[in-house]
Amino acid sequence: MVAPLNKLIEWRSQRIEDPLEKLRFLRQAATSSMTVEASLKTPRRWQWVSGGVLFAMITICAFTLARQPASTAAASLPERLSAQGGVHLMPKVWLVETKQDSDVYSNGLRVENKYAVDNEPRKSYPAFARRDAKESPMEWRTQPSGIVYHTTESLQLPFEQSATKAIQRVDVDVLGLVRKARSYHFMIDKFGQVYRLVKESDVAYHAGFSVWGDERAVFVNLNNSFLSIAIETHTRPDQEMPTATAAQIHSARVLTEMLRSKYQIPASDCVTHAQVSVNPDNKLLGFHTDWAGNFPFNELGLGDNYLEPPAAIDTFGFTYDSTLVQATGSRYWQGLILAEEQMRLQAMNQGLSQAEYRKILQEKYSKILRAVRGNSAEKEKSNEN
Amino acid sequence: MKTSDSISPLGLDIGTSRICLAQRAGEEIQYETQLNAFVTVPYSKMTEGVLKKQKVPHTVTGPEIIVHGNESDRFADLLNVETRRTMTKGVLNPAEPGSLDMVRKIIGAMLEQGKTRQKLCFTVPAAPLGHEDNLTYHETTLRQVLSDMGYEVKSINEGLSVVYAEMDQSSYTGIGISCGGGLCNVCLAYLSVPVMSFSIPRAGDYIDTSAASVTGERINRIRLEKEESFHFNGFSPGKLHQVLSVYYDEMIHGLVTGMKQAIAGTRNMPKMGKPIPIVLSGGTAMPEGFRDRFEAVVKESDFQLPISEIRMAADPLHTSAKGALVAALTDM
Repeated sequence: MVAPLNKLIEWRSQRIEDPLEKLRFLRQAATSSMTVEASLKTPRRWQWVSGGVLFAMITICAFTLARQPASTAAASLPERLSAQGGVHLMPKVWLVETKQDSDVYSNGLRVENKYAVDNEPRKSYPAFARRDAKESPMEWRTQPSGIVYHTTESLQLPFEQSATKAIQRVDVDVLGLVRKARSYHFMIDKFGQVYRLVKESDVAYHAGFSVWGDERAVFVNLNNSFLSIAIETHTRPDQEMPTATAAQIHSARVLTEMLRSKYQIPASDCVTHAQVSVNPDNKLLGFHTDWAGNFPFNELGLGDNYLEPPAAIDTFGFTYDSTLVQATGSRYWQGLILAEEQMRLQAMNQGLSQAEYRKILQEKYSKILRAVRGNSAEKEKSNEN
Repeated sequence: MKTSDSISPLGLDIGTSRICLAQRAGEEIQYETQLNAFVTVPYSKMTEGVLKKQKVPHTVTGPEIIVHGNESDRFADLLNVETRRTMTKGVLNPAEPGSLDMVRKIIGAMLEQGKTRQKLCFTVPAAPLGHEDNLTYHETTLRQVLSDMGYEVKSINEGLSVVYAEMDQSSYTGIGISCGGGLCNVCLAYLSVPVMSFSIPRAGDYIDTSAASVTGERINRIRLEKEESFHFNGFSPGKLHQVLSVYYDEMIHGLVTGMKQAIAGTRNMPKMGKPIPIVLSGGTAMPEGFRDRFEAVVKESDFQLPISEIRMAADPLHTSAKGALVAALTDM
């Protein structure tokens, strides 16, 4: 078992009361670690791992080597290896027809447009280099680079036939609220109906203070750079199973396929709000905790992106507290601890203490944040949703 | 024979002296134990009739009737002979040609035909310390026997099974020790992962045999005396108890020395962070005072790892079977 994970594994296991569940969790954790160790034998490695680095460093990279930058060509070729090692194809989905209030796509997706609304147009936004994350952008982009999944955290009625009318009333209320606030690009209601809210070409205020990075690029404040899908459900601490209905999961899958196909979005850039949300004041990750541990990545045809080390930690020196850990299931914490370890090893390679190195990274973030906010016409909304 | 209506997983501790089956019954765990031994009785129609009437598990093979399982002890005492063992020192007995067949019969008397995909986890010993003995034959053979009965079979190190049965409070971190008939099995686990495991061949049978050779008593009688009245408290009322104390002490010293050696030889020992528990189980660990003596020897030994507690398992005779069941249940 990879040593740096142990403390967190032990800590989490002690919070599981049922002995069988606890053992199941520990054995799963051990298996994951062993899988990682086995994957070290494969020839592919992250280039930024220098020779002779510690085993733990290589271990981290085994989780992350699967990532590849956004593909701009060869849409039907294998896009990347997922975090779990499977090959995921870039979906190929096209618009079949547009009716009065809806769009129908080739994969069966139907998007209702009656709640669609304009907002400020998306402007070009900076992408920073993940590996050295200089304060100046690596490049500027105009198309969405990823998708953030949210929960509406709205009233949840029993999902029963007798409650259909009441559920529909709640749906309408929620749609009205999030439309007015320009909160998301899409919302999926309890019955799996997909509603377009903010137009894809515009900014939605879904992840104001946020950070995400794939292997190549880091994005700061994702309102501009990432699309948003809200699923009408809620998140509770330690949930392991998705709280979405089967219809919602299906709709999320076909909607994700459509957006990935349209904007060539890598699977590794399809992430949850809890994975990206940060608090710039206290430099803690997980200001919002929706989908902190139970997002059905695999059911959506994505790798398990909870294994991905959040860039907020290893690139900008953020950390996290018990609020986030309490909200996570048995999956997300692995990515968290891998990012922490990555940060620790980078500090060691530079001959700095973790505190010194973290401070440097945080200062870099502060400068980038100021630049992003200055350069963007986007009005930061720090407490969206 | 157990009649299990559900397809709940099973745990099976296949020890040198006993075979113990564990299965869930609601929130409880039910155990059934059979001696892993047999005795041959000359064939006669009358004997066979009596055995049938008394529902004593037996097999007729030509001129002999073989009585196996729990009844073998009674018949051995009756006939003033030693029981024969299907296993020795934790593995199938190479000196006993019918050992595999007998194991099959004893297990067959405890288990019904496995239901589709019914999981069964059985215990296997660790290699003796300092010897890389090949345990593959033992494990593979038992696996085959159980698979042939229709089960989906997995195995678990016996020491680890003690950890699984007893150490949920320490997140399955600690040292599990099973003192059985043929072997003492030891496993150090960290967060459920076995870090080091070994066995020593000095266990119950060693004590019985050694004591028998010194006192001239039959081994079976020594064992009964040991199990029924021996107290490990430094006070030895008679010669037999004195002899048993000597050999018990030797076994305990061997165990602790073995643990120290094994830990010293373990690469990549994880940093435990805090003291770890040791749990003692198995029939050989049951005499009163055993835990205290073991603790005293550990304290004298300058043990490398900080120990939080040394305690007896809640149910020492069934601990390994329970651990195997836990392993089977968590594999679901």
